[in-house]
Amino acid sequence: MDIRLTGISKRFGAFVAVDGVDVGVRSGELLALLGPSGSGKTTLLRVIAGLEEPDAGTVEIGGAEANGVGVPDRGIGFVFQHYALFKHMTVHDNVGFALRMQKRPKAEVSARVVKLLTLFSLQGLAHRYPDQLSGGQRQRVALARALAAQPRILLLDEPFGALDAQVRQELRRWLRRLHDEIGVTTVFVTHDQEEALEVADRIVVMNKGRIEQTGTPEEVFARPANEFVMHFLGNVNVFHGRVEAGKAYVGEMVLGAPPHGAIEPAAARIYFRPHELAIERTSAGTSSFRARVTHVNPFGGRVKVELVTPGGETVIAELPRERYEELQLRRDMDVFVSPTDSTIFVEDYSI
Amino acid sequence: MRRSLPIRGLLISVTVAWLLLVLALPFAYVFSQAFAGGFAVFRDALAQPEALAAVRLSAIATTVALVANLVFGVAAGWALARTRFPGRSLVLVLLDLPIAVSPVVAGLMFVLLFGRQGWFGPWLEAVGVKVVFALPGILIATTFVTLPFIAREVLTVLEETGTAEEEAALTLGASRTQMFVHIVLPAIRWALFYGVVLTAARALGEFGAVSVVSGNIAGQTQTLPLHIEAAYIDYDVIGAFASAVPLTVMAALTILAQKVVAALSSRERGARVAEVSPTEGAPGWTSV
Repeated sequence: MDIRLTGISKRFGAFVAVDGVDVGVRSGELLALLGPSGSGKTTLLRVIAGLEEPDAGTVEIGGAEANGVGVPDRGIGFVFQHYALFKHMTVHDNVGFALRMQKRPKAEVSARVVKLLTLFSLQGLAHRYPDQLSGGQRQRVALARALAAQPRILLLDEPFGALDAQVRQELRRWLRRLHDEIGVTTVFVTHDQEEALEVADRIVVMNKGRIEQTGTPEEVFARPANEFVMHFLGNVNVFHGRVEAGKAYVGEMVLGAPPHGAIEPAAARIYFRPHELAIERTSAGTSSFRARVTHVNPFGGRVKVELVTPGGETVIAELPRERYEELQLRRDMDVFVSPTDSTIFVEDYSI
Repeated sequence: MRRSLPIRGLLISVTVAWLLLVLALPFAYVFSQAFAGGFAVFRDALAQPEALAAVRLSAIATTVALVANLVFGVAAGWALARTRFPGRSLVLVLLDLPIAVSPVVAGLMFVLLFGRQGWFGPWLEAVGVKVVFALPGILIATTFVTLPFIAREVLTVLEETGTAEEEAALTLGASRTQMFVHIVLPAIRWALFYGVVLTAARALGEFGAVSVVSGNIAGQTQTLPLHIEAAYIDYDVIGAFASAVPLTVMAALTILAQKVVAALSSRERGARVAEVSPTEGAPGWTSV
């Protein structure tokens, strides 16, 4: 079931939570709404659910306008950030709630609940109460409950936010598998770029109530539309420089910048992700810059190296373990950093 | 901070002695005086027509106040917890007014409103309804002084529980009524029960406001507390104390109910935790 949001705005008092947003969700896809807190992503999700009525704009679900349609009649499943399990009901009664509200026969409800509990590896917990479950178990009960009445759309608000790192990883992969199996159109909200990149088919990056970029994980990561997206999706090193005739000048360094072919020089910010910086013991001329190692974090498959340029700027590089051992990097060692790739944004003069 | 043994002992003795003096002793005295002439005298004192009428009137006033405040309390508690409207904080202040204002002043207020010289007096007289010095006045006064109890209890619990479960019920297809029955009522049931107990206790015991509006006519507009005072002034000590027994028992039941509610609601949680922890232990809580 596809969803179409057109010109959605929502304010709370003087605060504009969502500011004229258009989003299309394709049938059967897994879409992430990604952004920092206060970016309007949760409000947007609640607008789809009908939990918030937008001040302007239309919501269409499956081609039919949903504005004014009550929450119970939208055919959605919603997983709340802190799960919102019914504390006074057992797992069985929580999962069967939607079907009981439809007054389905008891036997049918029980059969469906048993099936769902099996699908979500919750067998044996049917008679527990929510406060007797671990975080991961609660999360799965919330999902099972939301899916019990076979909703047309599944909406998840920070589904893994309240879990510890390891459980998160596991549930993330598990959610992806589940989505591939049942194929229900799913929108989830997250502030964790890694989560969005790993799980989603497409990502909508939001900031201050507006959309910064929409695209596949590859697109938003490799070709960020603007500096906000660049910053938000992973660590970056930023340098001020200029572009001129297809070249970028950063300090002593000259880099190829074919898209910026204008003869007129322009001030620019040049971004390097940590993995786009290679470290050498010897200078590579104008395609590298000198820096001193200040800190090395050798734990994990990739080694994080913190450096400082002669100008006092901090640079973070990430290199494969073998390369790190080859270089025998130590603190206070002088090295040369050469970028293998970069992303350049020309500064806006219009202000 | 650890106190030395003698100081601890002294503190405990002072506390116990004080409680005995101001609570247990008067309590026991009520019973000893009521039964001073034996059970038969106690029974006869309660069986006087004035005493019976007073019990009946108190029962009616309490029931009416309970029903009215149950409906109002749930509605007001809900509205104040779940909606934000201009003037909400003013309503919250107004809600506490019946507790803040002296009951005698409250009673006087109604006399001035509904009495002959009052705002509504001429109109009430014209339609032939007697409020002051009659049953309606007593009902209004009793309802007024007990107004905040249920609403306050419900409001507090609803604010604590938050809206997430209610929203979850809606997304699962529950109608507003279903949501109320399946989610809201279970959440507020102990608060309601406790509010009802408080309201009943206060309604039964109300003296000041009722004393002013009722006119204190023996056998007609005397509630139990008014009857007790009248009997006592009449030097009918046994009658006064006999009539005090039902009120005292009610007070004891109120405290008992409070304890039972606290025990039940904590046992609901305790039992569940006990059920899981010894058998599963820590791994059961962390595994996925």
